[in-house]
Formats: sequence, structure tokens, C-alpha cells
Amino acid sequence: MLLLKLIYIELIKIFKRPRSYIGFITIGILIPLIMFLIDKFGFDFQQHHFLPFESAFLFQGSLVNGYLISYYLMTVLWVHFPFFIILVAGDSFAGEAAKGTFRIFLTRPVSRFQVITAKFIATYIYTAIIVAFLGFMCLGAGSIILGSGDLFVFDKGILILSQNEALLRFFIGYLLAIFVQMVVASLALFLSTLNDNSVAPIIGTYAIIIVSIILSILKIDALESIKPYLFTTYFDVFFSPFADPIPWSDIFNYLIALGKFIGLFYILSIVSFVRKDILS
Amino acid sequence: MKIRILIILLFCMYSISSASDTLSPGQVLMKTQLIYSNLKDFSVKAKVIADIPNFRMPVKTVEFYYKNPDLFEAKTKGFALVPKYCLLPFSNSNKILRTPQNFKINKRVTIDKKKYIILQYINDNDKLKNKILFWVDAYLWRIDKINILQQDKLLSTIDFSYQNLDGFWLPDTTLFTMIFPKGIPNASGPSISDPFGGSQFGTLQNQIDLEGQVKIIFSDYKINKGIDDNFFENRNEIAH
Repeated sequence: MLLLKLIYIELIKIFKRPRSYIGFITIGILIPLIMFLIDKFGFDFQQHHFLPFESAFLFQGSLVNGYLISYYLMTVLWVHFPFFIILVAGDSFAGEAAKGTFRIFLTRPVSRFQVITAKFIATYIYTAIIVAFLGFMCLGAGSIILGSGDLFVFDKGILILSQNEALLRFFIGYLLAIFVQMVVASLALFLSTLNDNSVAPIIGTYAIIIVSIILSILKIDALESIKPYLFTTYFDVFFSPFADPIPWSDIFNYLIALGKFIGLFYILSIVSFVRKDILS
Repeated sequence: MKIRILIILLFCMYSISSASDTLSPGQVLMKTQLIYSNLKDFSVKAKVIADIPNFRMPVKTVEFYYKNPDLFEAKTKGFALVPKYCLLPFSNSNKILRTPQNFKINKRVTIDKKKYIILQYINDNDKLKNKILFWVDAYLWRIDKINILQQDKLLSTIDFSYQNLDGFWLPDTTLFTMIFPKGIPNASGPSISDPFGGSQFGTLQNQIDLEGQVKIIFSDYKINKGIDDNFFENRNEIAH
């Protein structure tokens, strides 16, 4: 019960900070703008990918719709979108340390373990809300401006998913994206426990993500052995539901790997925060 | 008397069978056209089932609308791939079949006691030297099969099976078997190293030719209901 109250308090803290709304505002403006621009200026997509069919087939209807753009916009979840999570998670401990509120907060009958758990859960809830908002804006604004329909994806060639099937895949995809962003949030929270200034965990987390992605992308044999230890190697799990059949065992393995990173950062945060001297 | 009738019948049968052996390409085409002369318009629902390597599409329902002589429209919810050629093999609707001067008789064959006249379409302007062969049933005067060859290499075959509705032979199932030159690349979805996926599309030249099939199953024909010309506002550029 106390933990629930702590989570509630942490959520209030998160949503009282103006920085928590930067992501929502950006998504709220950017996504409809992208959809509008595609609607106005078009998207040269169909002609390029259906070249082998051109001589024998007539294309009835269009594959450029809100779902297709939403699918491609999911790529922002790798590098760009984590910034909104880091901005909030990175400030969670460091922000309070800088303001000196921990000293009062920890005089109350709550353990540091409960505080840290509440902060993690509250940040995960924020993460889930903002990812869901991204999904809602992409699919909602996309369907309104560009319309809905079948979804074109690449999977062992060309795969066209029916509208209902695509919606289900998006739902699973965004759920997995929440899990991916939880890893980002966990890393930012861990780095936040180490600092008394929120700038350092924000920049630090972002730098780690960028470096990890670079190492994941580079096709150098020597790097292959370290790739399983980079959490970014598993970041594309949210595209897995768009395969046919859905590779559930791969998804499960990726979730296990990501779960290990979440667990690792959580334990490291506990160790760091429990041993931390609250001096201000 | 009985012997006379028998002789007359035998003579008629001989005349019918030998008639198809002496017809010119124009006359053969005219006969295939004749059975559709009272077909003013129709609408039909069609299920499009694609079985193409490296290409998967859900079964799509397309509605086709046709009005004599050359109005055609296809409507579908979402997206569908519809074969461009010979969807409706009627002489009076097909642009190619409206030019009898471009045809010659390739040969006459009998398969499973069924006589066929194979017409060859000749297009002198075709630099690719495509050869189009129309297999005409010499008894029912329907086009049962079309072969498209490029420099004697078979590119595609279209097999028609028909149903008789209100006296018209209309397609029941049409099977398009075709070779996709250089195939469809085995592209994979987005990943960290290929953020938008499908980068393999740039390596088309490495692919081999692949054979695929598209089956169209027609149902729910509505014949001669008087479809208005204005209905065909987005006329398809289809060589139906």
C-alpha cells in the first residue's frame, strides 16, 4: 500500500515537471505535420518497390496510408524517441539530489529500496504512456489524414498485412517498444542515482545509446562477440511482430535479454542509491 | 428415311468440324465475339489469390465493372494487385482482339478430343518480339488459354475456366502463371543496421527468375443491369 502511494507521489512529481510534456508536445505537433506533408506532397514508395510487378500487374488502390507511415515512424524509437524518456528518467534522482528534497523525503518511514522501486515503476508508467501516445498519434492522425488500409512491410520479400492484422501487429509492436524504452529509462535512472545534476545522466545515457547503436551497426567481425552484451542489439524487437508468422520464440529471447538489462540497471541503482550519502 | 436423316446429320457434323479447319483468323475472332454480342454490361466480385515467391498478400476481393465496348473499372477496399492483361477475354472488350489483321493461325491442335485453333498475335512494332498465342475452343468458341512468349521463352500462361450465365460464357476461374524476370528480392524488415528495411531491393540484378501464380475466382455476376457510363469515372488503363 505504501509502495502504491509512493508510486502515485512519483507520478505526480513527474507530471508536475514541465520537461515531462516536451515529448508529448513534440509528438503532438510533429506526427500530424509529417502525415499532412505526406498527404500534400506524396510519398514515392509504391512505384519503387513494385518494379518487378510493373509489366504484368495493375495496382488497385494505394499502400501509402497512415499505417505505412506509422510503421516507418517506429524507427524513431531507436535514437530520437529515447530522448524524451531520458529527459524525465535522468532527472528522477539527480533532480531531487540537486534540489535537496531527498533529505526531507527520506526522513519519512520509507526505505530507500521502496523509494527506488517507486521511482522505477513511476518512470515505467510514464514510458508506457508516452509510447502509447506516440502509437495513438501515429495511427490516429495517420488514419484521419492519410486513411487506413493494408500495411506493406518487408519480411522474406514483400508482405502485405490486412488492416485488422496490421492493427494487431502494431499493438504488439508498441507493447514491445514500451519494453525497449524501459531499458533506456532504467539506464537513465541508474546514471541518475550516481549524479547530483540531471545533465550528466541525460548526456551520459544518450551517449551510451549512440555508441551502442554504432557498435551494433558496424559490420566488423571483431565486434560480433560483444554485440550480445549491447542492449541496442535487441532494440529492433518491436519490428518482429510485422513478420509472418510472428517469431514468438525470437521475441521471447529478445525480451529475456532486455529484461536482464532492466534487472541489471535496477540492481545497480539499488546498490548505488542505498549506499549513497545524502549530504544536501 | 432414317438413312437419309443419318446421312444429313453426318454431313452437318462433317461440315461443322471441317468449317473450323478453313476459317480465317478474322472469322475465328468474329465467332468468339459473336457469343458476347448481347452482353451490354456486368459487374462481378472476384477473389484475387496470389502465390508468388517472396510476395505475400492476403486474399483480396475486387469488384470488376464492365460495359460494352471498352469501359472497365476495378474497385477494392485497400490494395490489390490485378493482372494487367486479358482479365476479360472477350473479343469486343480486348484491345488486342479488336485488331484481327494482326493475327495469323499458328496451328490447329486436338487435346483430349477438344479441338483448338491457336491464333498468334503479330505486332511488328514490338521490339521485344513477344509472341501471344490465343487458344480458341473450336466448338464453343471461347478463349481457353493464352501463352505469352518472349523470344520463344514462355513468360506467362493464362488459363480460363468458364461458367455459362444467361447464355454467356463468363470466366469462373482465371489462373495467371507468370515468370517474374529477376524475381522479387528476399528483403527483410527494418533493423538497427537497416533502419527502413528492404535494402536488398538495390541488388535486383543478383536475383533469379521466379515463377508465380495469381488465381482469380469470379462470383456473383450481375449481367445487363444497365450500368451508367458515369460510373466509370476512373477508367483503368487495363488491357482487358
